[in-house]
Amino acid sequence: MNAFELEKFKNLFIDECSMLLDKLEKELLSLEEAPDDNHLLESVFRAMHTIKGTSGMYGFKYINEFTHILENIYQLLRDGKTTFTKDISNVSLQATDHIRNLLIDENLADKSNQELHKALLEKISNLNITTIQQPSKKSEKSTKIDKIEPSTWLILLHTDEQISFRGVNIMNIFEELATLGSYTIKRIEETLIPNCQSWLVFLTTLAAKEEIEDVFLFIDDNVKITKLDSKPVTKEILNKVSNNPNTIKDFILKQHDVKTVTSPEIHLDDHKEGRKISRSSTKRILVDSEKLDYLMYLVSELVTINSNLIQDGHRLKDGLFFEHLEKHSDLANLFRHSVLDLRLIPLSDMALRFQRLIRDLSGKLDKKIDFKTEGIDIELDKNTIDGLSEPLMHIIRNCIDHGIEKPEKRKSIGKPESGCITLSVVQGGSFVYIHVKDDGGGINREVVKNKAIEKGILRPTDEPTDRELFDIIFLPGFSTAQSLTDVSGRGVGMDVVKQEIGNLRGEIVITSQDGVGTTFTLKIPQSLNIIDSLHFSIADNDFIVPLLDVQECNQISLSDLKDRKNTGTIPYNNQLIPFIDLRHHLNLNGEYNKKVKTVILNSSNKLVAIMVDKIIGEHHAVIRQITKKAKILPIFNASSQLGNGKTALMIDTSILTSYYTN
Amino acid sequence: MNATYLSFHIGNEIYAVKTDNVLEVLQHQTITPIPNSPEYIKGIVNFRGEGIIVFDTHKQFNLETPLDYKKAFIIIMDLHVDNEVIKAGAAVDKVENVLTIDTSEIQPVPPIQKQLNIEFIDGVVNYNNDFLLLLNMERVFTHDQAEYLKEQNNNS
Repeated sequence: MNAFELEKFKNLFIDECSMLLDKLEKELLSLEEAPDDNHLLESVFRAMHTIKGTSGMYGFKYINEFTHILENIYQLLRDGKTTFTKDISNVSLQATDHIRNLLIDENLADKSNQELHKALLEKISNLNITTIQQPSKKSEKSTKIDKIEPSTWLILLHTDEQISFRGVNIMNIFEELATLGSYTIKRIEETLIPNCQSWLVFLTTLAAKEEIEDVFLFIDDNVKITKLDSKPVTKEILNKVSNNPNTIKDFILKQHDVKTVTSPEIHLDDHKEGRKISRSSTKRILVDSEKLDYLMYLVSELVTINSNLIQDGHRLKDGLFFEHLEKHSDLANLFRHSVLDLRLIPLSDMALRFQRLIRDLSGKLDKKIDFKTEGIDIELDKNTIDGLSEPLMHIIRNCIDHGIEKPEKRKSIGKPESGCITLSVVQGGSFVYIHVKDDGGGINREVVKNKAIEKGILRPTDEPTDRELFDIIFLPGFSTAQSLTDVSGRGVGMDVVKQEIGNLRGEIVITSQDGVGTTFTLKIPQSLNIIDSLHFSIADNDFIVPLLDVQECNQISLSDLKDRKNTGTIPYNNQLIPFIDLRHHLNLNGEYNKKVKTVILNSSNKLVAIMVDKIIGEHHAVIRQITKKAKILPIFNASSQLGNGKTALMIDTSILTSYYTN
Repeated sequence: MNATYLSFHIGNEIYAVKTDNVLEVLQHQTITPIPNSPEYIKGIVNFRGEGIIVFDTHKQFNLETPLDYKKAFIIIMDLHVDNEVIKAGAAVDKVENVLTIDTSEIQPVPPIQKQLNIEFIDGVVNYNNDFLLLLNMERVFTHDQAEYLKEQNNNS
């Protein structure tokens, strides 16, 4: 395997390892809640073991060394020789963070990483001394009592470049192998089979051969499994063997039991627990977002060509041909919709970080806080999720620091000792509402008011409403924390939160009840690039407006409209609302029909009507911003390709209303 | 030092731009007009799923003959405007060739006459006995013709 190929595998390892670390972190946090859950413990152990094994394969020696020591602790836990303590979980969580560092800085080039590495290793070894020494003697005994001797297997594995394309995930294989027993992997430097990388795995297990074969079910052609004598393989043999390909061949040939594993039939009902786990982890794959963009481009081209075909196809007057074409266009549209969906990912991806934040911070502040989530499987655009992460972290940090009271205080006022932060997500139309709620003391209105008066934002005589008062919190440089902590800082933050939410075209509102708690509500569009819109036309020009801004579609007779021209308003629901003659403002040709279609727009609670020729219908629009550098009317802020290949201009309703009604 | 340029016709002149910023050359595209925009903005064209502004070089150069859009080429480019990279399309009569030019042979623009399009030219180079005018597309794109004409009228 040349350096380039190894690099490719390495990158794959980094991606997979990051996912595994996420899983590990999640499981460690659950393990804190239920330290006796053996199933979880097994899973944690397996994840560590897999990281250890595969990091060794790809030469991440520090990760390997690190996880090896960590794994020892979990081995003891697994054998029931020690119990899962807060200290262990602290170290393990820090370790997952550190392994993430090591994935980037594999050779510990960064000084701070070096120090961290040393400090963590020390921490881990200190753990060992206090909790583990005594029981470790027992462990020797207990293995002796064990009558069934584990046997050692030699597995010779060849992987080619295509292996990942065939849907085989090496990480999963090793994760599964870890369920059977402990193993060591060696990479064979020399090429035994052209274009293949060969690996030598020594597995010590109680499992039968069939079980091992099962693990390698999907790469059966390239694996040889041989039973060695039951003596455990020592490091020396291992080194001797693995450094010389000829000895490997000899070594394998000398075994009596040499036999190529024939590909076993796949029994669908033969699912083992281990396999189920590995399956679930392959449910999602990591895709470069540029590839998605390219796919999106291809799909829109396909849709355009399809509509061209339909237009030109009419000339052929061939019914059958046209039937095929219609089916083709249905498919193309379905295709387009599913590609749009690809960009959406669930909020639950973020929740883990919040859980970790709450855990770490509450410990630091001596508070007890539970974290609950509701509806976090709701999906948002990847970019939106990325943009939401920081502001939400900040809000939660505020809830922990300022919201939730200390346990003593909570007890004294009759609340349960543990506070609770709830993250709940509700979908409404193309918006997603995210509520972050704490059951703390609520925002002290007097404190905020006094501070605002002090800062000259309010006059002492002002009687602000809750909404007005809480909006002050989002002003730059406003902080009510009595003593500044290193947790939620000095009032830089809430203004940034508001700004970042604004960047996502979202809104944020605070509600708070004295002594009961505070709720932050974020209203976020589901996607920055995809919106539901109403498509209409004036003089054959296509336009769209966000469907959420549309109150109603109506019609009015042209003569009525002409009568009302001087007042500039039309009646709607017992009131007069202004109307905008877009045809006139945009210098478009033609005349309105006798029955003029009107679209009533609602822009921040201001109603306005526009006159159009044709209302074409709803359009699920992928919108693209139009550069602000071009000197065009600011009401056109984006464009969208229509299903028929034409382009519609999107009208920004808020700019439109302010532009033409003043 | 050599650099590659794309040469094309606008009216009777041959111009060239560096190929580095050229993304693609399109033909026979549906251009969606943007109502009430300056005359030199022809409209929006779909390029790789994006809506891209197309500007009319004839209008921007104040040429009398209108551009024939049935035959016109649209050069899609990355333009660097105010520290931002934006994609835009320049509609020209005909795209000619990709050439290699020795940058040391680029001459400054001779101040022949005060013509509007002089200020769009970065330099001139002799190529096979033809004069190639090296065009600064950023300036063509951001140039506000109405403003310019106003100034001209005030000065005269």
